[in-house]
Amino acid sequence: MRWLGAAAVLVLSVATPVLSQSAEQPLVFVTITGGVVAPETVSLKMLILNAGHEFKADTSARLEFVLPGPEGKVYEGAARGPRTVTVPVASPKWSRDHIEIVSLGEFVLDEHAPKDLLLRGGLADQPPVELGTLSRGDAVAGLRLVRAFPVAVSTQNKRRIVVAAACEFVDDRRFVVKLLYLNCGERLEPDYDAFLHFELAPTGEDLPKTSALGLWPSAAPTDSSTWGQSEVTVARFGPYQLPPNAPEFIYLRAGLYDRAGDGKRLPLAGPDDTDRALVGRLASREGATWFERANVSGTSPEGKP
Amino acid sequence: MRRLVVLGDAVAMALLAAACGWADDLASPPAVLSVASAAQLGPRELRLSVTFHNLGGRFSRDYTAFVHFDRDARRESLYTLPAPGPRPLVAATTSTRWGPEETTTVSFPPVTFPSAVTREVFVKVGLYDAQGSGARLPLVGEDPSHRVLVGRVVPEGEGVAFARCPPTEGETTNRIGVRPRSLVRPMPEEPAVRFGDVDLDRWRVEGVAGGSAAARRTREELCWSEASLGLTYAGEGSASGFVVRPPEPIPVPAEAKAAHLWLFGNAIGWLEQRTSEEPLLRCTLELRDAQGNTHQLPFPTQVAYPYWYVARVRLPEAWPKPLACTGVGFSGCTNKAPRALFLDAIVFAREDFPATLSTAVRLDDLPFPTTPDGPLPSQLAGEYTNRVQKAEDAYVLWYEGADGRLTYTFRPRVGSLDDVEVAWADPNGQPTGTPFRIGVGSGPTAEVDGRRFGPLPRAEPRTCGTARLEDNVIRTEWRWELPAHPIQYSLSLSIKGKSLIVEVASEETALSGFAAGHFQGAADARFIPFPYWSYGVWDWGRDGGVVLSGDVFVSGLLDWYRSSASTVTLGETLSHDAEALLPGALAYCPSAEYLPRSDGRRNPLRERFIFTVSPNVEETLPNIPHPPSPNAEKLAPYVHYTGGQAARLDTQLEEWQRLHAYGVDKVYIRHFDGMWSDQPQGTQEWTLTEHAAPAVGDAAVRRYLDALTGMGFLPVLYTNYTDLQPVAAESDWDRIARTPEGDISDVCWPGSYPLKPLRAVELEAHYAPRIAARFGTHGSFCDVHTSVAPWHKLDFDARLPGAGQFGTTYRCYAKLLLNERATYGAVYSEGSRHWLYAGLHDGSDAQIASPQPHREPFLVDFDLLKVHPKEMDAGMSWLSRYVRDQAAADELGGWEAAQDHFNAATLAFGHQATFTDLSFRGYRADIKTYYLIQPLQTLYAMRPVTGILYHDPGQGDRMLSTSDAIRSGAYRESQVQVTYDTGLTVRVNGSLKAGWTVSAEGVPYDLPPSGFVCTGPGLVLSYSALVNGARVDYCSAGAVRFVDTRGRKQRLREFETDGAAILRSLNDTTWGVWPLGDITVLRVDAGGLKLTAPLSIAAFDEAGTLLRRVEAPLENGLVTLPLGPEVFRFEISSAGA
Repeated sequence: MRWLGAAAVLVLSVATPVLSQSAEQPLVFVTITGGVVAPETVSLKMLILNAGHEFKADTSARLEFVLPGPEGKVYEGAARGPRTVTVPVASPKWSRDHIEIVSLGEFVLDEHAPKDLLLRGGLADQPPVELGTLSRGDAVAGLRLVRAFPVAVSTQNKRRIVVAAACEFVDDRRFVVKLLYLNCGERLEPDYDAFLHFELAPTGEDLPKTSALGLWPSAAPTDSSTWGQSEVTVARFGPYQLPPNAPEFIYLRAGLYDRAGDGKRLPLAGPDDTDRALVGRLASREGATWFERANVSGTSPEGKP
Repeated sequence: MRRLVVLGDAVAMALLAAACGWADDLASPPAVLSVASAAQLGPRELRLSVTFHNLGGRFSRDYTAFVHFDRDARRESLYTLPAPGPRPLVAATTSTRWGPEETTTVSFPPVTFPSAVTREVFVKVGLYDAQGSGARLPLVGEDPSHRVLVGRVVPEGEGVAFARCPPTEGETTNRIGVRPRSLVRPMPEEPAVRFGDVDLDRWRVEGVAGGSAAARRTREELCWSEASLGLTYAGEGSASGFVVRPPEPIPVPAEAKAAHLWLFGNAIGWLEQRTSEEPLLRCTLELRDAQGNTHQLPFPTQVAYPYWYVARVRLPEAWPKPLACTGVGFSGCTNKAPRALFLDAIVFAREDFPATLSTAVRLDDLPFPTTPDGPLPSQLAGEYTNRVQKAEDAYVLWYEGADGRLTYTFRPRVGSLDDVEVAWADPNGQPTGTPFRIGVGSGPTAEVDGRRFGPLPRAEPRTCGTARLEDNVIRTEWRWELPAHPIQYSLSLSIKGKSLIVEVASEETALSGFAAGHFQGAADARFIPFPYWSYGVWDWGRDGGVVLSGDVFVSGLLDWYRSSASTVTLGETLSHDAEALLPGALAYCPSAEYLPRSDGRRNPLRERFIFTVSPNVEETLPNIPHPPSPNAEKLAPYVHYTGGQAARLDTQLEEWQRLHAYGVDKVYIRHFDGMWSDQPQGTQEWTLTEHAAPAVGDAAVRRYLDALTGMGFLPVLYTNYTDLQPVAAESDWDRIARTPEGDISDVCWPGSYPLKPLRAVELEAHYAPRIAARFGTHGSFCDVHTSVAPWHKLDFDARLPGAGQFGTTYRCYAKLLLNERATYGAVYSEGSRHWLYAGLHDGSDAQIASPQPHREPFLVDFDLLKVHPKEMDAGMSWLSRYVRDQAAADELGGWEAAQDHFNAATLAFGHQATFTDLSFRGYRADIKTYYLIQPLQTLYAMRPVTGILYHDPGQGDRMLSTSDAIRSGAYRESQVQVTYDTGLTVRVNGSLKAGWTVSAEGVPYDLPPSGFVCTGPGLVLSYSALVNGARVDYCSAGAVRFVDTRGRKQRLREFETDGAAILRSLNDTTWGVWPLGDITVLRVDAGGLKLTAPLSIAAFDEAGTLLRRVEAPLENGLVTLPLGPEVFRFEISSAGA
């Protein structure tokens, strides 16, 4: 969270509402990401997105490898092989929209390792979640990481693309929005365009109102036809100019649409009725503006499904 | 006049109109004469009345009279300022009751012309059906928009005056148009349709979605033929339109590659504010293929040019041939009032071009870069050592100097900048901050069989074949395992000073670029854009700058002298690295992108990147290794003005004569394109010609220029070798740049196509000596070339050398700018990307790339340290490019405050003054600009800067280095002090709100926002500061004194006055005095001027006639000057002299 202006200190002392405070909706989203750095070696990182949670004490990021099967037995490999990892994180210092990327290390999956392993973990003080699957592969298809579909997101969604956002102010009134597209095992045919919309209301679609404020709808091409099943894609938009006398809330919605084809939006994980995911909102009060990240949960800002 | 009206979806409306007789109103010959008069209510306030004289018409409706205030005599470009400013006015009439020969006078509300309106305003009137369709009634003397030019509102002193136009001055529908002068040659290819010859009884015009149109054969506008098809249309919304249909399909020759539609549009594409009454139409060709399918083939760009030009569209090869044209459609008719456009011809062009092209242009003989290091930043921290070591799994490149220790650690893992980690330590070796990475998510990109790969290896690993250290250069070879197409490339790293130099190369033409990735460092790392360092590819061009991470600055450069890329990108590229999401993940180094040439192949990858890390920001700024302009001494005294057109030669000459009478003469007068064409950018070609506007002629322009030169001005003419108009004598489709697909590029500016850069060099070499000889000019205004970056103007034509490389454009534009200077003696250009051409021309309009330039901080270092030593840039470009609109002016406190901010910024950045045409308190502010800034220019133009400091507004008088000012954010207050080697010190308060009290030569000055004080050798003093709480402008330099107390009586050095005045020493015993504007008191200090009583005062009028001579007594050492409306200047001398 980047605070603006002298009044920010005043605002800091009052409660800053988050988009969802429902107990059922975790305020910290955790997923796994990584890349194959050698034919048998994968480098893994844990991506943690805070959406308003306040941590009272240090915690740690934890990853364990689990053998497939009903027992859910943890697998501990050799020194450089799949093994349980715990990395401390200074979570009390995190802002309400903090992003943490924890390097978990490199893991060698040689012929002695199981062919498939489940990845499980998260923050140590929260229930572990399924993060993905790591397959050793063979001579044809090498190491493969497939991200699990987040448990927090409604499984009714057909598309396994999750969108989240980060927002940074580059000076006192201009800001950049970064959209994170997390592929959780999807294969897409066309190269969709990423888009970002600003809205004055948490539901419905009324872009002319925000366009009149200079917050125009934005789009950028992606290479989504080449996305791997655990692809991470970050699209950067802006800088935008915060309008004078900005309304208290400006909602950010994001998605993918087939610009070169039929122009239709791709239904995403957690979309609203307009096939756009609510990714956060800009809140302005008493001269200060900050970004509140939405939960990656498929809920409306008020926590309603 | 014959009209064919066939209305499609508007049939009901047409029938209704016909039934009530309204259609007769519109179709009848004009029968109303309009004459306007104006009552002068105040200096800038008028009340207009229009008298309509009915010449025998009968009208079915009560039309509403309207008055439009237009920026342009010919086009519809309305002022729409809030009341009481100029805006459309309406008044009801009872035209149904008008009898033959009846005269009706309509009065309109008063209009006040704000001082910001400094040009003449065209007053046009008309009658329209406000209650019905909005259609305008034809009037005698009307223009194509059915309005009559009845007069002009012209600036006169501080006020304005109405000047009535004779009834015949407007352009009537009976007029015969002036054919563009070069269209006397045969058409390059025989047209399929000449619209002036079509049989209107058989052709049809169909309305679409509420659109309607009337067609007529006319000679109002002439192109190739003796007549054209005039189309008057209106609509209801963006879907509304009309289709012009031939009686039977027009065959398209099988060998035709493209369709060319010659048309005369009516909307101005470059207009920033547009109403629904002035839409840009979309134009579509309707084609039927051999299988009977109908296709809509849209022309690529809208109808956005109000003169003759040709719209071109390539015919798709996939459609079964033969094709036939079944119509030409227009859509987007949001205008309710009728508008007109004209069609001349359709050509289905074969576009047979030779298989090979050649050029005699050499690009290997240019005087830049002056060092093989390219833009490598300077090392300023004294002696240092560099070394490169191989560690276990890495190579370490070291810098060690008095200021600290820098290491670049390279671990060859993925063959990109991702493999580099950087750490800075203080001189004791203690790390400052955490290590950071300069290129996360970087690497080569490729396109194989239509699939794109990279920059991250993702599923296709990259492996390092060899890695070795040779002569302190780390050389690595990489293999990228793309499907069925492994790619090899090399990556080498070396260090020089604090700069890491990374070179990447490959012979693989499948490589489509090299992404520089993003910075990843401290969470509070931020990008600091520097004004004028602009690539023009991201964030409105605020994309050149450095990253501040912790205490160190980091820059990343793509060496634009060595690149083989087509274009550069920054900031908007996607990343597949999650770390791009983190704060501090900043795009700052341009990536290289390689696009295919017209032969389908890409150029081999050759790039050099330079990354520099330093605690001193100056050490991270790119150098510009160009020879400096040789014209510093000659051009430093000149201020700048851009404007002027052939149609106003007499008025312009009078204006310059008047300025000259005030002692203003060192002005580089840059005339605009309207010197070459009868209208600005229109009627004729407005560049690539050696003949002045036909309506005026070469001789008149030469006489005008000679007169200006005789007064000491430096008048120059407009040139431009980027835009080629189809009506130009030089028009040739094979001179137009090609796209990567091999097609001819579409228009790059309304009505103009992009000239191949190599052809631009050839044509400039042809025209420059001819223009110089014909018009006797000693400089040029070579527009556009420095406004665009080389990657904005590309030619992918593989028939010519250097295709698809921005370096070719760069070198071509540099070569032609150098030849402009060699031929004429001086050359200025448009600016905003002018840093790339610093020194290769003499200067540019100093445009800041920003949506709100007036808000950009006065972070002057890149401009003053890198660009300024090479050339002399002008103003902040024009005022309207710095303070863009009324809202911006309001933010500054009005237009006078905007003028102040413009001048303050000009001084802060060390630019030459630029005139703005504004007037305040009865005199032209340019006179003040001239006397406040021009005397200083020789003390700073191209002179070395010896110091730059920023005021820390939170710390009293404390001044900060640039590095510290950036770290603390103090630079944003724009309170800056610059010193030059001449001894001149410039202190400028660029803050929009805060004051700044400074001490200059021991004297405190209270600088309000946009205030300044400059002190220099020889007691030079120029300031705009608060005196006794009120703003005062003053300059004393050599034999010149100037003062403006802005309406408040003040005693100030040589003056006591409540206004503005100039003092110039004419000889040892005589001073000339010029009172300016609203001044009621003017006393001068005789002792301060070394005049001794008794004094003799002679008063002269503007013509130089002696009005009277008086002996004036001294009163407390002051002599009172007898002001009067007829007095233009005084001469004061010691009576005995």
